[in-house]
Amino acid sequence: MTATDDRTQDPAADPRVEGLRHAPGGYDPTSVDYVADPHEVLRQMREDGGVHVYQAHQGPRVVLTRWADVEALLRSKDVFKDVRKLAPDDPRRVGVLPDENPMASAAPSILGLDAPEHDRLRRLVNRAFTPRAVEALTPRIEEIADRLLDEVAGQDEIDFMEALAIPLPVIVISEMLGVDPEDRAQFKQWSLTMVNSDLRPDDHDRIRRGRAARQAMRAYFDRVVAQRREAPGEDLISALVLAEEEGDRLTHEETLTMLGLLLNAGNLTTTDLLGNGLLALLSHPGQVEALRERPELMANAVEEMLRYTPPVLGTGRTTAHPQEVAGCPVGQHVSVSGSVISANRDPEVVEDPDRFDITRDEIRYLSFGGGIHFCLGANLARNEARLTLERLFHRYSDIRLAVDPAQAEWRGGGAFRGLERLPLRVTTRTGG
Amino acid sequence: MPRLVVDRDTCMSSGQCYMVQPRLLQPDEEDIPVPTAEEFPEEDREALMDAVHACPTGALSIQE
Ligand code: HEM
Repeated sequence: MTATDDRTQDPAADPRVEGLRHAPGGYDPTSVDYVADPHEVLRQMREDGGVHVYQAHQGPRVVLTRWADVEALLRSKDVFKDVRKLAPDDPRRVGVLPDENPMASAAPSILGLDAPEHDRLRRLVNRAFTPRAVEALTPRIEEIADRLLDEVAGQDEIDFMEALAIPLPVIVISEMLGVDPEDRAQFKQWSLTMVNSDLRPDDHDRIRRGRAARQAMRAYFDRVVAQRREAPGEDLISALVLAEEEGDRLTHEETLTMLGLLLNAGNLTTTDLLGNGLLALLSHPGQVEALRERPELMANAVEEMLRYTPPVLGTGRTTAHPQEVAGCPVGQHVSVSGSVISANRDPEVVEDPDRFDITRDEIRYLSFGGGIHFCLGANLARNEARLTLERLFHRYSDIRLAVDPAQAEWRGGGAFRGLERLPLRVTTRTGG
Repeated sequence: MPRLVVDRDTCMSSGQCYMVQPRLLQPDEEDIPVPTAEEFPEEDREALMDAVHACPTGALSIQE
């Protein structure tokens, strides 16, 4: 079904969202045009009250575009994520539960659980992702980035997505999990097949291959979890298994679900941070110059990339009972989405928000969400992005876009925003 | 009187607690939150709970 079909129904006819303003026609998160340039329509929506309703695939959806409202939604205790709380025939359950997605299992992931179940499971993985734990991975991430750059050595034009942005996060997480070296090539292949199918939700062939890869991955984890239970190591899979053994805390199903989530939540997102971020940077030659002069700005540059061009457009919750959402009455079990990309450009919170400026101080954004679901991998993603871009700028004395930024190829649809390709013209540093 | 305890090994520096309750917590140089007082008056209990519940990693707790 296309977005135009969806729009033929009148969302505001649903009594649960009666009286809410319709989103303007340009607001269509499933279209490539919107993904390529969402900012003008989002500005209109922020100025027009910041609360709108539109007809999504599975019913009416409220969308919030102002920072204060998005932040309040992320922290609200009157909304939930666990789809099992919906009626059994609710279409929003489909695709999230195991019958539709072979990587999902009988146990929902922390991303789809509410407190207190969420907190119990999340506690078991947090330690692997603290700033200190992630900092320890620095030399290895640099090595992986250098190795990937070696693979395209000698070329004066590279596709940054294919060369670095796609493979790097997959390799890093597989090493953290403790995938055995002899299995890594196969593992990387499965992960990339899965990412590729997520990249193109309209390509049935890719979807089929993605599904097969998910199944193979699950069978693989099933085996490895059993092995690690026999002979635990230092890796993240062992840590999960040990946590499971100690206090009967993670069931086998929960372990598999967690592994699937760790793999899925961090790959495409980090890929897109790298791609979107580098595109923004290279579209502003003055900023590139500033960075060449002061390389220590890279950490701040990554923060500005997260704010200015976030990989995740927004995130949703469902109302637990009738309530006021951003001052508007909304009924029970209504989907509400917080537009993170809009909040990040709310002039109430960010000065001159449409300016990309890597020297800003106190950069604020909601790109990693907020409240209890705040991204587990935030520190890892920041580090991967900083280190990869540092190695890239170290390798090449000159990096230019090989496409006009206005012609950049965005992927369409879904909650993610990212590039299909990012061709660069590069000059290798001599003597370096 | 309630005290706020930060588990520095679990904290991921998400900043959620001092975003919701900047009066009760402030980040140190490692971006790990530090309570602004040894003990808090009873009327702050609800605000303290608010900070505890905002933490994605369960690194905050209240001790009496
Ligand atoms: C730039 C890269 C990334 C972005 C923009 C991002 C974004 C997000 C967002 C917005 C959420 C909250 C979703 C919600 O509120 O419903 C989230 C949650 C999560 N992220 Fe990330 N993420 C990134 C990288 C990673 C990485 C590298 C990992 C792990 C390897 C990861 C693992 C997770 C997990 C497990 C959750 C669920 C946390 C929970 O529900 O408690 N993410 N992420």
